[in-house]
Amino acid sequence: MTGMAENPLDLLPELLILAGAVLGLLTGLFVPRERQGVVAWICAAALAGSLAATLAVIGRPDVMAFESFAVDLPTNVARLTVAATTLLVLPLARSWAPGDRRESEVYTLVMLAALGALVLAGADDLLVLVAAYLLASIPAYALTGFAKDAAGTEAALKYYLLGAFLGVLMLAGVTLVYGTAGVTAYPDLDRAAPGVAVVLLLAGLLVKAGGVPGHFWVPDAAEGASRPVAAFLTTVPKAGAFVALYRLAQDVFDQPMLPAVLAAVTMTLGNLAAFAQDNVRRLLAYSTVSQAGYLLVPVAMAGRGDLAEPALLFYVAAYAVTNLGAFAVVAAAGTDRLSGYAGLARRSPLLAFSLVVCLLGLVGTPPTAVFVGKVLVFAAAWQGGYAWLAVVAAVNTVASLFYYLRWIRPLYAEGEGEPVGNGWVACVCAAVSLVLGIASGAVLLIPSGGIN
Amino acid sequence: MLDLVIFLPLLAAALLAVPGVSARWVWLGATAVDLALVVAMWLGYDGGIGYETRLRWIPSVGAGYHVGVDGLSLPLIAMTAVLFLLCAVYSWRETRRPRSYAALFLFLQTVSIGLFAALDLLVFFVFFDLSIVGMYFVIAGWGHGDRARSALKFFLYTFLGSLALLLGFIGLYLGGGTFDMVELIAEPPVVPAVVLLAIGVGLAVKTPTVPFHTWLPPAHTDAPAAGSAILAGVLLKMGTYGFARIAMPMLPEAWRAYAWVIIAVGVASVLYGALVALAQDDLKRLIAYTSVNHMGYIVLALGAAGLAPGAGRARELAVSGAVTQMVSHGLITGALFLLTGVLWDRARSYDIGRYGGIAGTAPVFTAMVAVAAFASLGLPGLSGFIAEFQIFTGVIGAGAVVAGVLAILGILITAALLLRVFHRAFLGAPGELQVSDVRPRELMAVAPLLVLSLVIGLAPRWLLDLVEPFSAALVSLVSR
Amino acid sequence: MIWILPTAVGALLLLVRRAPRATAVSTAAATLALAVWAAVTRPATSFPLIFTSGFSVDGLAAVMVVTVAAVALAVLVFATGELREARFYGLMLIFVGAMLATVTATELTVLLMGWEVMGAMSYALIGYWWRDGDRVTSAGVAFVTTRAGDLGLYVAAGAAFAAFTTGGTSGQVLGLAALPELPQPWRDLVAGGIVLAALGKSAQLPFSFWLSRAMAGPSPVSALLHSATMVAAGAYLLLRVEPLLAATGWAGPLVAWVGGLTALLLGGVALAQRDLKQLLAASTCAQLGFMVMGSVAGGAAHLVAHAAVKSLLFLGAGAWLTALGTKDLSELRGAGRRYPVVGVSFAVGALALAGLPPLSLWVTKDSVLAAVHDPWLHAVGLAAGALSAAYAGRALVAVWRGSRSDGRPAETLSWAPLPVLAAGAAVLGVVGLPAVWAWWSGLVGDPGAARVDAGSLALSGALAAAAVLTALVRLPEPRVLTGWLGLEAAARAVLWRPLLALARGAAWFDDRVLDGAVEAVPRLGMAAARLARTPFEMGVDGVVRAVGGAAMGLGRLARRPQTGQVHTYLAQAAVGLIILAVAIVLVR
Repeated sequence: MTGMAENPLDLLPELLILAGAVLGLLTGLFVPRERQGVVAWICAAALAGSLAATLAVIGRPDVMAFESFAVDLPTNVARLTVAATTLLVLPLARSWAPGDRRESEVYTLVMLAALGALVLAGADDLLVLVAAYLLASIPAYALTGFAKDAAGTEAALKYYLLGAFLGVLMLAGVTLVYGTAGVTAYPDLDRAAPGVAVVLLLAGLLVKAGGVPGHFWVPDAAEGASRPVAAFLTTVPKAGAFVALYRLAQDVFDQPMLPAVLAAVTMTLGNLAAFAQDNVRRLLAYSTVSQAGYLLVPVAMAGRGDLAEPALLFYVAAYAVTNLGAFAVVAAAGTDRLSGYAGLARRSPLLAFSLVVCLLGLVGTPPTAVFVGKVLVFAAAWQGGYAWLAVVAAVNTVASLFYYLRWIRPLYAEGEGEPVGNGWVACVCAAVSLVLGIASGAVLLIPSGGIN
Repeated sequence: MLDLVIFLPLLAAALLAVPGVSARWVWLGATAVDLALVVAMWLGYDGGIGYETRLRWIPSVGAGYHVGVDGLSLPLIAMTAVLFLLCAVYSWRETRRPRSYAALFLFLQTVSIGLFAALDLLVFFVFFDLSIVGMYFVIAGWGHGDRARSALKFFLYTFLGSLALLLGFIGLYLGGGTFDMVELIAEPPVVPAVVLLAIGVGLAVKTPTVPFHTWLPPAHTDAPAAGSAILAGVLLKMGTYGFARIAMPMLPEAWRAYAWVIIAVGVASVLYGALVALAQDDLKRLIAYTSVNHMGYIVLALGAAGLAPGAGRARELAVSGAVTQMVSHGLITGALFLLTGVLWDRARSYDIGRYGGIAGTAPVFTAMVAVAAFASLGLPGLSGFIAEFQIFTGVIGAGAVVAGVLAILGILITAALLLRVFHRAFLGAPGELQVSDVRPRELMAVAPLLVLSLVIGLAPRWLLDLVEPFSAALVSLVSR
Repeated sequence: MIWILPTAVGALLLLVRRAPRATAVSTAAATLALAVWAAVTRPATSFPLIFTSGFSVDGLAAVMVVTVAAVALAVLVFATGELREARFYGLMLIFVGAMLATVTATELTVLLMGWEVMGAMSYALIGYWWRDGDRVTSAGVAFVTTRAGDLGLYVAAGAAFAAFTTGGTSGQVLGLAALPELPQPWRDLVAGGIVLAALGKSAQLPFSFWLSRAMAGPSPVSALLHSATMVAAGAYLLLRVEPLLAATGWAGPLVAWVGGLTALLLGGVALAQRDLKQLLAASTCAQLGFMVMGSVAGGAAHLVAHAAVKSLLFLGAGAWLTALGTKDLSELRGAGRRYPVVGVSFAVGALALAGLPPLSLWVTKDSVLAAVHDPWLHAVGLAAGALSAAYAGRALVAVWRGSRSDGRPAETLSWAPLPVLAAGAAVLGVVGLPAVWAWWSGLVGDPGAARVDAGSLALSGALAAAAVLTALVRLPEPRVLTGWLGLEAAARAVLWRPLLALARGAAWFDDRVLDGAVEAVPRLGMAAARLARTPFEMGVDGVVRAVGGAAMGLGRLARRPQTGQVHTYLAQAAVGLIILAVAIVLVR
C-alpha cells in the first residue's frame, strides 16, 4: 500500500459502471419496448469506458481509496475481467431479452451485479465486503428468476435462501472478528482472525465463488435461469469473489490448510458430480464448481510464495473467458441435451471448434489460457509446500477430461439437430482464450508493478 | 528455418480452411516441402545446438519459445518428416472428410516436430499435450471398431501421464528457477527424487513401458493405418526422447541412483512385450506389443547410460543405439502399420487366423511385410540390427551383463512370433479372407521406409556421425 | 569385399526377375574367379560401420572363399535343371554373399551381420515352397533354433566390447584377432557366446534337429546349406577363434567333446534313417562334429573335403528325387544303374564319406583325429568313423542294388557338376601328403599341426572297409535314432510349449490384471461420482422419490414448487461449515 487517497477518480471504473446502470435504467423508462436495445448500447459503452479507465491506471502504484478499497493489481485484473466478460454477456442477453417489456432491467441488473463483483474484489474492509456481497447478490437473485418460469423461480429461491443463509453467517463472522480484534480494515487485522470467524467469513464468499459448501445453487441456477444469465452467474461474480477470498487469505487469516482442503473437496466433488450429466448446463455448472476448486488453490497459497497471486489472477481471467465461451456455445446452439450436439461440426464448424477450444481449455490443454493458469496454480501449490494439492488437482484434471470429452465426441458424430444461432461471442471467447494463452507472457508482463 | 519447418504444416492446415483448395495436394506439398527443408537443415547442421530461436513467452517463470536441434532431435525430426510425407501418400485416396483428416495430420506434424525441437519445458509440454489431442481426434474420427472407447482410453491415460510430467516440470522449475532446458541442463536443479518419479511416470506412459502400456493396443487396433503409423512411429518416441532430453541431463544424480530401476523397467518391457505379443491373434495388437518390446530396448539403453562411470564408451554406445532405435522403430513400425492398413482395407479384419497364403495373391505385399518383419526382428542389413546391436553391446559393455543377456533373449522371442505370424497369415494354404496386392500409392508409401531402413542397416555412418557427439555429451552430462 | 557381387546381383534378381538362371550361374562363376583372385592376392579393406569394421582374406579365409564359391557354382549349375524362379536364384546368391562376408569378416559386427543374414536366407530357402505349411514350419524351426545359438554372438560382442572399453586392450574393437588377449571374465564370456553360436549354426548337439528340418527345402538348397555354407560357418568360426578357445582352457575340450559326441550319436541317427536326404543330413551333423574335434589344419581340410563330398551326395539325391520322385532308400533301388553319371559320382562320394582309402575324407578325418590326444575322445572318433562307413555303405547299397527303367530322362548340362565334385571328393586327400600338409597347415595358420601317420590311416581304412560291409546286413533301427534322438520333441516340450504357455499367461495377465486395474479406475470413478451426485441431485431423483413414495398420493406437481430440497441444501451447507469450524478449532 503505497498511498492513501480520497480521490473519487480512483474508482472511475466502478463509477462508470454505476453510471451506466443508472443511465440505462432511466433510459429504459422512457424508451418504447421495441427500442430498448439502446439500453444495451449504453451499458456496453459504460463497460468499455470502465475497461479503458482500468487499462489507463493498470501498472500504476497501488492506491488505497477511502481507506477501504484497494486499487491494486488484483482489483485491476478483476475490473478487466468483469468488464470484459460482462461486455460479452450483453450480446448474449440481447439475443434473449428483446421483446420482454423489462428488457432494460436485465441490462441494469447485470450491470449492478457486475458492480457488486467489482466492489467485492476491491474491498479492503470487512464492512465493505459485506456491502459488496449484498450488492452482488441481490441483482443476481433477481436475474436468476427473471424469466418467471417454474425452473427459474425454483432456482432463484434456492439461490436466495442459500445466499441469505450463508450471507448471514458471514455477517456473524464479521461481527466475531470485530468483536475480537476491534477493527475491520484488513491491514489492521494482521492475519490474526480466529478460526471459527474465518469459517464463517468464507461461507458467504464461497456462495459467490461457487465452492463447497456454498455451491448447491450452481447447477440449479445454471439449468433454471436463462442461458445468458447462467453464463453471467457462473462467470462474473466468481472473479470478484476469488479476489476477495485471496485478499482475506492474504491479510485477514493465516490458515492455508482450510482453503486447501476446501479446494480439494470442491474440485473433486464438482468433477465427480459432472460425470454422468446429460444436460450440458448442469455439466458446465459442475465444471464451474470444479474450476472453483482449482481457483481455491492459489487462495490457499496466498502469502506463501510469489506465484500465488499471478496464478490466481491469470486463472480467474482465463477461466472467465473460457467458461463464458462454453456457455455462449450453449446459448447459440439452443439446446441443453448432450444428444442435441450430435453433428454440430457439420452445421457450424466454427461453433463446434470454439466449443472444443473452450472445453479443452477448461481441461487445461495448451496453448489455451487456462493451461498457463493451471501451470501457475500447480507451481504455486508446490512452491507453497502443498505438492499434494497439486497432485490432487492434476488427478482431478484428468477426471474432468472424461466428461468434457463426452461432450466433444458427439460434435463430430453424425446427427441432425436444430439450426444454430449466431455464435460469434463463443468464437471471440475461444479466440481470446487462445490468444491469452499464447501471449500470456505479454499479459503477465503488463502489470509490471506486480510481477517481474 | 527451424521455425518454418515446425510451423509450415500448421500454416498449410490453416490454408485448408479456404474452400476450394485441394486437401491432398496441400497436404502432400506441405509435407514434401517440409521434408526438403529438414534435409537442407541436416546438410547445414554443424554441431552443437543448431537453428536456435529464442523468444520470451512467460518470462515471469522463465519460460520462452526456445527451439533448436542437435544430434538427438535432428534424426527424429527427419524421421518424423519422412513418416508424415508417406502418410500423406498413403492417405491419397482418403474419402472420409479428407480435409479435416489432412488438417489434423498437418497439425500433428507441427506438434511432433515442435516437440523434438523444443528447448523449453513448457513448449515441450504444450506440444506433448497437443499430440494427445490431435491423435485423439484421429482415432475417434477416422478409426474403426470400438474407436470411441479406445480413443477415450488413449486420451485419459496419456493425459494422466502428461500431467505427471507437468508436475515434474514444475518441480524442475521450482528447483532451477526456469523452464529453459538449456539452462536447466547447464545447471541441474537440486530437487528431490520424486521429480524424477513424476517425469519418469509421465514419459513411461507415453513410451509406453510396462506396466503403463495398456492404452496402446486398443488405440492401435482401432486407429486408422496412417494414425497408427504416426502413433507408433512418432508419438511413442516422445516418451523416450523426453528421457534423453530432460530426465537424464537435468536429473543426473537421480538418474544414476535409479539406473537399475530404469534398466529393470526396460528389460521387463522387452520380455513382457515380446511374450504378450506372442500370444496375440490380432495383428495390430501384436505389432503394438512388439512396440512395447522395442521401446523397452531404448529404456534399457538409457538406463544403462546411468550406470557407474568407467565404461564411458559403452554407455555412449548404448545411447547411440537408443537414438538409432528411435529412428529405426519409427521407420519399421510405421511401415508395418501401413502394411496392416492394407489388410484392413481389403478384408476388414486383423485376425491372423482368418488369413492364409496371402503370398499367392499378393506377392509384392508379402515381400514388403517380410522385409518389415525381418527388420523388426533385428535382421542385420536393416536398421533394427544397427540399433539393437549397439544397445546390447553398450549395455553389456556398461556392466549390465544380466540385463543385456535377458534383453537379447527378446530378439529370439520376437523372431519366433513374427515368423509365426508370417507363416499363419502369409504362407501356407489360402485362408478365409482374400487379399489383393498393393496399389501404387501403398507401394510408394511403404517402400521408402524399408529402403531407408536398409540404408541405415548397411551404411549407418551418416546417421551415427550425427548421433555420436550427442551421445558423448549426454553421457558426460549424466555422469556429473 | 567379394560378398558384394553375389549379394547385389541376388537383390537385383529379387527385384527385377529377368533371366535368373543365366544371371545366377554367370554371377557364381564370376564370384569363383574373384575368390580365386582374392585367395591369391589376399586383399583387405576396412571401413567405419558402427566401429571400424573390415574384411580381409587370410589363409583360412582364402580356403573358405574358394570352397564356398566353387560349391555354390556347382550347386547353381545343378539347380538350373530343376528350378526356374528368380526368387530362388536371388535368395541363393544373397545367401552365398552372406557366407562370403562371414568368412572374410575381421570383427564381430560384420561377422554377425553375415551370419544372421545367412540364417534369414536359409529360412527363405528352406521354406521356398511356401504353400506347404509343413515346409514353412520347418523353415521357422531352423531359423529360430539357429538364432537361439546366434544370441551367443550378441553376448560375445557385448562382452568383448566391455573388455575393450575397460581393459585397455589395444587393437581393432571387436576384432577377431584380439579376442584371445581379452581380460577375464570377459574372455570366458566371449568364448562361451561364440561356442554357443557356432554349435547352433553347425547343428551340433543339442541343436542338431534343425538340420533335419532343413531338408524341407529344394535339394540344391540342402546341398549348399550342408556343405560349404551355413553349417560350415559354425565350424569355420570355431576354427577361426581357435586361439581364443585355447586361451580359455575349457572351451577347446568342450567343443571337441560336443563334436565327438555329435559325430557318434548323429552317426547312429544317420544309420537309422530310411530317407536318403535325412540320412545325409544326420551325416552332416556327424561330419561337422569331426571338424571341431581336432586341429585347425585338420578341421579345415575336413571341411573342404566334406564340402565337396556332401554337396555331391545331396545333388545326387536331388537328381534322383527330381527324376524318380522319391528319396526313400527302399524305393531308390536301381537308381544308380538307371542314371550312371549320378550313380558313379554318388558312389565316389559315398565311399569318400565312408572313409575308404584313398578317397579324401579318409585322410582328412584321420588328420583331425591325429590331433586328438584324449584317448577316450579318440576312441569316440574312431567309432564315429566306423558309423560313417556303415551309413555311407547303406546309402550306396540302396541305390546300386537292382535295376530299373522308369523315371525322367537324364539331364546333361545341369548334372555336369556331379563328376567334377566327385573328382574333388576323390583327390582332396592329397592334403595328407607330407609336403602338401606342411603347405596346408601354414596356409590356414596352424603350422606344426600334427600330421596323420600311416598306421592310423591303415587302421581306419580297414575299419571303414569292414563297416561298409555291414550295409549288406539288416540293422535294427531304434526309434530314438530314427527320430533324431527326440531332440526337436524335447525342445518343443521343454522350451517352446512352456514359452507359449507363459505367453498366454502373460497375455491373460495383461488383459485381466493390468488392463483390468486400469479399467477399474474409471469404474470406481463412476461409482464415486454416483455417490457424490446423490446429495446434489437429490431433488429430482432422490428426495422427491423417497418422500413422494412415503406420501403416496401427493404428486410431484404439488411438490415441485415447494422446493422441498432446499432445506437439505442448507442443512448440508451448515453441517459442512460446522465440521470445518470444529476442525479448525481443534487443530488450532
